[in-house]
Amino acid sequence: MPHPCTQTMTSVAVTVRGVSYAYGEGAARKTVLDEVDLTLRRGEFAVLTGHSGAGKTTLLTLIGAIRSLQQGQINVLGFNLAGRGAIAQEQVRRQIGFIFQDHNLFSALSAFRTLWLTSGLSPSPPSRQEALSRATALLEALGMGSYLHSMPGQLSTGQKQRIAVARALMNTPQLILGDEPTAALDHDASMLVISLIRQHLTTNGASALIVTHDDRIFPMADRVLYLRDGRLVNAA
Amino acid sequence: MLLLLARLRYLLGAPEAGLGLRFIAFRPARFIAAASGIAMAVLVMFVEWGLMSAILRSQAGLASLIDGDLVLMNSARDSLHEWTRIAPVRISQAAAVPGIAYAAPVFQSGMLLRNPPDLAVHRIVAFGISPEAPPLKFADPAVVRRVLARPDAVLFDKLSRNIYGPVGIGHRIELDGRPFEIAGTARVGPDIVMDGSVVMSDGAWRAREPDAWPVMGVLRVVPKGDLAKIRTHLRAALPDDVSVITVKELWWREVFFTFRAAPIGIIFGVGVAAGALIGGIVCYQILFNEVMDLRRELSTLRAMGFGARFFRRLILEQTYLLTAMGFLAGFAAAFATYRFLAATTGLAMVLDWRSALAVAIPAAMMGHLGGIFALRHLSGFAAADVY
Repeated sequence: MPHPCTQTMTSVAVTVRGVSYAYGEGAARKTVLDEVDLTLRRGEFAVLTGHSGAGKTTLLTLIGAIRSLQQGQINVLGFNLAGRGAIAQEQVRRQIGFIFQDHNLFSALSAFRTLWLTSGLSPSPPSRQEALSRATALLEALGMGSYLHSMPGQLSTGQKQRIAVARALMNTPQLILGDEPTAALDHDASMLVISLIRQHLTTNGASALIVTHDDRIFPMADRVLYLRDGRLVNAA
Repeated sequence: MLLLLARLRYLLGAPEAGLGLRFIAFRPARFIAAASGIAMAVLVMFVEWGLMSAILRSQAGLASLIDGDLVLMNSARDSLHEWTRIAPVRISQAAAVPGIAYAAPVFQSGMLLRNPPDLAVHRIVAFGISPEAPPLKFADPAVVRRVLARPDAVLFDKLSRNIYGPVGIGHRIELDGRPFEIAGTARVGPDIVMDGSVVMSDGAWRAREPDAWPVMGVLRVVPKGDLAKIRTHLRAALPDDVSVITVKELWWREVFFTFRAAPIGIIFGVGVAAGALIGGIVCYQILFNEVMDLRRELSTLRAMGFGARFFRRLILEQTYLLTAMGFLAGFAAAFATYRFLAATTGLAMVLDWRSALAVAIPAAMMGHLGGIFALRHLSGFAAADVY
């Protein structure tokens, strides 16, 4: 069995085949994903949108190995997620840069400390100095250069969210999964974040799948996917 | 060693190093409250342990005052607080065994001390020893010799509890109705049974009770004498009504007797265990609250790929830090409490490395277990809990 982190360099970053997912049991069982198929190419920036409760976040968490598959196949960065245990899923998650809807930063950790901690997930963790350089560059790109040693309590919600974006990019992931990453940001900050993600994709050949209702992002995406009644529709 | 150093350097330089400390230090009020709770549990353990050690030490205190190699005692005697006597002839018989250089009787009994100024009467333990070659180290031998040369003079134990009224050198008291003068002081120390002691000469003892039998005989062997061999000869020469034991054996016998028969071990052992339990619950409660407060943040880390080892280190680092700080605070509090207890009870409360170790071990266990139980809650968090 290949190591979960073994990446097969193909032109495809993510394939989703026949994935269905339901919550609840018996009469209360509700299907949120129904035979979903999706292919995300390397270097591609895809946006996933749809009504609330359409299953966007569920699909994102299945691709991100945060939830276990119930039915279907998902291959992420060359690793098949079907039937994998918690440890293997953990290994896959380490390869992915997550941007969650809530920043969930630790109040006790400065921006740099948060990013440095994240760098520990890298297969070859950088030294403190290397992490400092990387964190400085990321925060400067996000207009947060002077907040390197700020604590979350000293930052606005939008600033915290930008720290969370930097956290997702800290280990130069080959896949970025974002759940409403610009929801707490104003227009300029949103554009900065998306530009940085795009730049990351171009530079590193990485891919991104972003769940959002923010139509300001749509024009910047390579593809907009629409999830309706648990099924995926290519919108553009 | 080099590998260990490299590992240590990696651990200290790793991004997660000191994370627990940062979490703890971020909320100082909570940290102080937590450390105080643990310190209280540690103090309870120190006091329980200290009292047990002090009682055991004081009950066996007489054994550590014996100035000899072997002790002759009635074979039916279980502890030093039973004054079962031996026939005086046994001392003479022992003295006649080859290899014995010295044999002296020790008389001991309870007496009523009457202090004339307030006419109060209190029970006190009285010893009768040879002033010329004292078998017990109550005071400087020269002082013992000088003071007890007078048949109406006694040494008063200056560590006695403060219940005997005004006593001091030159003060006159009555012992079982006979007048004596306190002409010097001794160091014996009270225990849980006796409050104080006086020491008189064996001559004075025999003057009040001509047919008195001693409670023990203290024997010294000749220089470079083979103690085991001489002891075997003594056992062969003496009838079964006396036993011959070394001073060290006597000390341990007394400690075990008190530990088992009192039953000091169970009483104070339960106290130490209760302290450890309280500390463990405090530790668990603090860490449980921390884990629940940071549920979303910790779930986020799990979703990002941080594994069980990271979380174990995060929680256990906090529990060890809290336990260490609580232990230090508890140790400082125990220092003051021991002084107070020693002054008020007269017991020898000793805060040494043995006491520290005896409390540190259950304290470390309680902290570790508290952390492990808190970790069990954390392991219940799924990465998907971030949503």
